[in-house]
Amino acid sequence: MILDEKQRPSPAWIESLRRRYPTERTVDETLTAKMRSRAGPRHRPQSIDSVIARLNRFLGRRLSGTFSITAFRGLAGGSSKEQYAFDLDWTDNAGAARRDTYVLRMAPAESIVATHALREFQAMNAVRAVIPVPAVHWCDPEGVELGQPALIASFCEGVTRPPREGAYTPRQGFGPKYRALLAPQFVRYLAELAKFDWRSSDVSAFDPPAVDSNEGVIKAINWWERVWEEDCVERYPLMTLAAQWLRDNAPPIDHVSFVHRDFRGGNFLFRPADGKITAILDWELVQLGDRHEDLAYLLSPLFSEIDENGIELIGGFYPRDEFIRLYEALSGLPVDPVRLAYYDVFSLWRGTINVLATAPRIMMGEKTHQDIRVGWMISATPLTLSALHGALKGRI
Amino acid sequence: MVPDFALRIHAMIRSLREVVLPALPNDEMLAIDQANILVGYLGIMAEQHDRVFEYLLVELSEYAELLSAMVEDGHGAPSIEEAVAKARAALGIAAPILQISIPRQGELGALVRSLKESVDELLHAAQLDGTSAYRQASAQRVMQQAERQILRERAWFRASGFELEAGQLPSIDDVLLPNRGKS
Repeated sequence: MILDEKQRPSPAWIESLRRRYPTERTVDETLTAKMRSRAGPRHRPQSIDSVIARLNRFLGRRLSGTFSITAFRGLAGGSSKEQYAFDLDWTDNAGAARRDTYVLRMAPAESIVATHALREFQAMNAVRAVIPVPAVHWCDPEGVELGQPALIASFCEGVTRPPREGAYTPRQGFGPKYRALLAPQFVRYLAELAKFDWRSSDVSAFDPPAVDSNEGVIKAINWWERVWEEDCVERYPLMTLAAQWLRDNAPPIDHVSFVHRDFRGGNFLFRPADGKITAILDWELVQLGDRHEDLAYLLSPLFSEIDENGIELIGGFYPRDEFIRLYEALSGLPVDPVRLAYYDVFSLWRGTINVLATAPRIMMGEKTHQDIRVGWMISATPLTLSALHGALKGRI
Repeated sequence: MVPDFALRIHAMIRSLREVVLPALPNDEMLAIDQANILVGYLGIMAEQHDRVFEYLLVELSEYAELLSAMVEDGHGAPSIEEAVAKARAALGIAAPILQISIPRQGELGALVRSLKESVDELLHAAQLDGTSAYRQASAQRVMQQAERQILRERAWFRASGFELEAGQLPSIDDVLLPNRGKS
């Protein structure tokens, strides 16, 4: 196993990376904390009893009256956070006795994406007005009380993939029945996210980028290039070339939107009975930026599906042109092919960093409960690299 | 090569020890027994995996020495003469391999990483101080090499199931030994 000096980063090296790659405040805080604790012990999940004890104390400081936690259980799914569900019996402000189910998401020592819980919390709170998102109730961004950075949200009913009737494919194919039900909702929510006016929301965990400037784009490149430098086990010249191209060609942002960065099948819940989308999930990568990033990410062939007539469906839903036409009509915002091509490269480069650099790095340090899963995801890297190479071809 | 085998084996052992085994009911003795044996197997493989080639080279050398000595004294009956002839042929194939100086797998890996690092440094330097022509030429060369590298990696991981049309990809032998006949 390759063990290098990055497993024991010196304070001087950490500071040099901070200076070399200036980015958003909370991103900087998260990455700096990650690096300062890297030489520390490997991650061992807290015992269930310990989590429940901390949770009792945490809620005791926030709920008036008596309450009890029951049916605490681990949840499967996801590659980054530890997730649990629990039932809470409590009394609301009107004095009514209630039983609600919640999800507790806790960050391990390092995960495939190091993110700030407050950003996720604020974005979910903000967009809830226009998109079905689990209600978020409490956040412990530093993990001071819960032992690990954590967020508590309402549990939402639903499934991420259709009941298996032969419809499921490795690309989360929905099949004709569910595609017809889900597609109109899916494109509408993506459009709603792009046009949502976030300016009256609490976005104190974000540094909103300026309109008609590429400053925010450069900060985003810095974010991910810093992650590459912190995590990569060995160099990969194509990744360097891609980063250089992204800096040289960074376009100004024409309209600042919340960008989810992982808006695709598998990251939303729906009711199998009627196909209603009940929740858009996994907001950990959210930022304020250019809507074209979400669109380009989704347009990637990695998430497309071939329908019964041999037509490629974007995200498993619509042919490309139809998807873009619907998106423009619903969002009232234009889709610029030049920006779309730019964010195609950006998304593939960023996604490749997660699997090619961060995944093996956190495995080396035993920093997550999901070593085996992130290790498996590395096997997909040649596909993202192939797509990245294809996206750069003819542009370099 | 990312991830290397040691890292993957280590993660498998950790998963079995810390997630799978504690989750098995106490009365599932067969499952517990076999999971523990898997941990043992993987521990052995963690020690062996990057030394298989060297192990074979040591064996090759020893058996070549043994066989050479036996061939020297092998005279007489037709069956002995026949076996000696076969042995000489085998030694003839082994001889050039025994003369090659082959680095250890770990040394080779370190050397490859250092070359990748040097390419990267040159790309950075070219970006800062290179002429437009040099930058362009370097970028094109990196793109051309990346195409071969990525095809090799896709073949290497084609069994993972991420490729929708894995059957269309070349085999590992095709990309590693393109000039040699298929085994």
